[in-house]
Amino acid sequence: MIPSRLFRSCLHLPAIWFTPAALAVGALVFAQHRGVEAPERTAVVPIAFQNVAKSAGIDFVLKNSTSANKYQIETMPAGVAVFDYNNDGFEDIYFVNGANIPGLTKTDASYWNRLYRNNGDGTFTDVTAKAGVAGDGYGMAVAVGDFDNDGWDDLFVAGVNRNILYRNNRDGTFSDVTQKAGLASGPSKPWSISAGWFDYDNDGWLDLFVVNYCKWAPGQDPYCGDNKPGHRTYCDPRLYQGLPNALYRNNRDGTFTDVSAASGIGAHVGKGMAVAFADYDGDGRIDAFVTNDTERNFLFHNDGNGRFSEVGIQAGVAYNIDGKAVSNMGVDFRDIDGDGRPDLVSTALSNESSSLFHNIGKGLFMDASYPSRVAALSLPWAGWGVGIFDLNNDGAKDIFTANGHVRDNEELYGSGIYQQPNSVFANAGGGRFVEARAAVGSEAAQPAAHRGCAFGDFDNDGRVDVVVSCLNQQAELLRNISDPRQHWFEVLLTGRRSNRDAIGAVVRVTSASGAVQYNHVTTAVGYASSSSRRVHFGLGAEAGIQSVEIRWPSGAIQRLERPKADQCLRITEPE
Amino acid sequence: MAVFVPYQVMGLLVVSVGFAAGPGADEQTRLLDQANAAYAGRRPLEAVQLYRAYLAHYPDRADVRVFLGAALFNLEKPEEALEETQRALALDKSYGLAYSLAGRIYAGGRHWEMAQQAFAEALRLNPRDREACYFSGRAYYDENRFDKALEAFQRVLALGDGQSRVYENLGLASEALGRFAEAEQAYQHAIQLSTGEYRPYLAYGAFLDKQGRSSQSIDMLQKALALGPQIVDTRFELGKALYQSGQLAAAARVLEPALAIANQCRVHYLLVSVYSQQGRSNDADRQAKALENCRNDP
Repeated sequence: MIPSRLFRSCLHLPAIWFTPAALAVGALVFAQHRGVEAPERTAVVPIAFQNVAKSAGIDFVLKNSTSANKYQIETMPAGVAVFDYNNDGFEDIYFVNGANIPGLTKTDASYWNRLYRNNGDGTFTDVTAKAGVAGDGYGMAVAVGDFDNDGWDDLFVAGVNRNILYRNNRDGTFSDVTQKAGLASGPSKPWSISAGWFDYDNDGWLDLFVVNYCKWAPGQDPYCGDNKPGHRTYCDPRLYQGLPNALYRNNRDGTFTDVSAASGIGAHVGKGMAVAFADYDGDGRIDAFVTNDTERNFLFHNDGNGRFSEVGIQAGVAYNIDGKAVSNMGVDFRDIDGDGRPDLVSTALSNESSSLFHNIGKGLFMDASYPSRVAALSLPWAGWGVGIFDLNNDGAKDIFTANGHVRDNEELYGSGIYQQPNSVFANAGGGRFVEARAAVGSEAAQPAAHRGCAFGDFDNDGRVDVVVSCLNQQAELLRNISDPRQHWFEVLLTGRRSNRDAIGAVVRVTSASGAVQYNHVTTAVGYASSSSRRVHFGLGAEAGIQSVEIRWPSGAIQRLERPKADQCLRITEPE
Repeated sequence: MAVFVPYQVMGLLVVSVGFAAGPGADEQTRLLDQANAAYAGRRPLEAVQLYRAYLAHYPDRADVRVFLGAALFNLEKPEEALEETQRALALDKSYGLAYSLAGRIYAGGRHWEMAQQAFAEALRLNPRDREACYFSGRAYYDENRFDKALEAFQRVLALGDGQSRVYENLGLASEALGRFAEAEQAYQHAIQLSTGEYRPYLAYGAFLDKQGRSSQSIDMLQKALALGPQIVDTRFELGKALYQSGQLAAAARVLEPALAIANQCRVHYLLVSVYSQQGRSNDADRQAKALENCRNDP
């Protein structure tokens, strides 16, 4: 159980921590640590979670309107967001929900998207009605970002034929500003499945990337599966026509311009599933990686002139090492091996394996799925949401995947099972991962049709918790109860010249022993979901930090000397 | 692409004449011998012509119709192949081999339920039909029903078929089920039983690679390559293992000849990465262009 006391929130950075002499713009090269792979550890710090959804008051059930018609959209929802909508220092939760089919309307409150306010005492309160964020239509995904730089996080909700932009009114309510912002779907009405906020042109305002899946309309699904009662099943994505993704540039006045064509993003047709952002080549411009279902992935290199080049093949991330376009699902894009270069982990179906693409520099990746054992460990599971986080605070990032098969009658057609437990792969050092399932609390390892998941520290105890959506079952709130003696450090950044959410800022932490770790600010994590924008580091047994260096999207470098461990610091970009 | 139905897989060494010789019988016997030879020599087009010529004289030979069906299947004409098996069954409804072939044809077309019905009928007629059982397992494997595949291969072994290929498939099914220790044992057994075939070394080498055991994988795949230097699968798996272990020049040397054997997209893709990491950007660009124009999905 979560103790009933109020948890401590992120602390504002006292002025003493600023070291103005270390500030610079552009010219300073953010030192890149050339990672030396640590030897494989003999013992991994156990990772343990406890599902506290019930006691926390999270009673959300993701409804997909399962039908005998096996509409393709049924099996794909939905994402979840972790964000602090009321700026009280406690992470709140927003769940996306389905709708009636074929009407695609939320005919009753059971289909509402739900916002749960964190009460700061281990419980949550459903504030959906008051906040005005119940949504409309068949929802799929959520992306959190402060698009108007007012210091209050806003919500973009993607869905089937209909997307919504909710502006945070700073009083616990939101307004639907989709039309005004120029983000209404228009006549094409694509099935949007994921979205993410990033500042691709580094103008200090967040832009919006929308991932589209495939052309679909009620009643147009082909019949798939054996032709007998109960055997109809969801069709292979190859039977549907793919769609291009969309990019919207923030006009800095509450409106957006569709730059899909001008940027080159719209020239690439796929069956997009998820998007994640990172500056993978260290050129100071944030890039985008899009997973595609049964088609090659896209790596959009930000050319810096408003245009992107798709370089997935050249970079070695278009297909898996076997040259196969698998059913790529969720993705996280961050440094997993401590060399300062963002790596990629993406999920896929059972018997396809998740992929780990190790960034080896010079714009190239090496598929390390087999050597790392991520492929072998993930082989039986169909992964959706995914995150690269240090779940046991031992100083090395681990992998969490939310699992569940696509077909609810999978048992009729394969050896896979529909309801699956989630996976935790603990970083064992030396580039290898080990199954941590045995260490996961049994209550937290229950099989379900898991879909989106989001990460954040709900109780501000320095351990990363996870919230997971489950089709037609109560969502899971997995409280991290791993060894509390491990040290940690979190930062919550606020941009001034950079976008206010500081998305894209890279943080380097050097511990007292000289060990270096990297992470960056992003909310686009996993599948259709949005995670906390706090940047988390596990420090293991080290109680001291030598320095923290922040490379802001504006190019400014900020350095802090010897901040205390075991705290969350709010740091504002210097003017 | 259809998998060639090997001659011995049809369960007979030859389609024998099997009846009293009449006028012109010698000539027909020769015709059948030639057809059998063409089939065994993997010349299916010729075999089809010769079997058809023979059937013009003896249309009631169910066994010959099944072989004609097998030859047609190898020519990637599944509909015509199926017609011949149906004709054979019309002549002899208890002809298990016809059901077995029908099962393979259905499986090739991914008609899994009908395939298993056909195999089941073959096994009902002859519960000791190891071939039907084996290919039933293969069909289950291709359908991703690995538990059923595993059962089928275990049954083949129980029927006394201890061939290397059965253990190899047992390994594949166990691996797909995540039963890695059992898979490894089966692969090792397949190698012990093999008589110079590359396949079990390839399967075990690929398995070791997927388990992150690169150096062992490379050893095994090099043995597979020595036994089958023209096999693209082996070159690809070995090239992949070498690439993952950082042996880029060796990977390129193994992969480049694969493209001369068959233009496979996956080889182009891997070579893009190999050349890029070697700093051979022009070569990498060439492979990337070839990949863009490549249409065979690996």
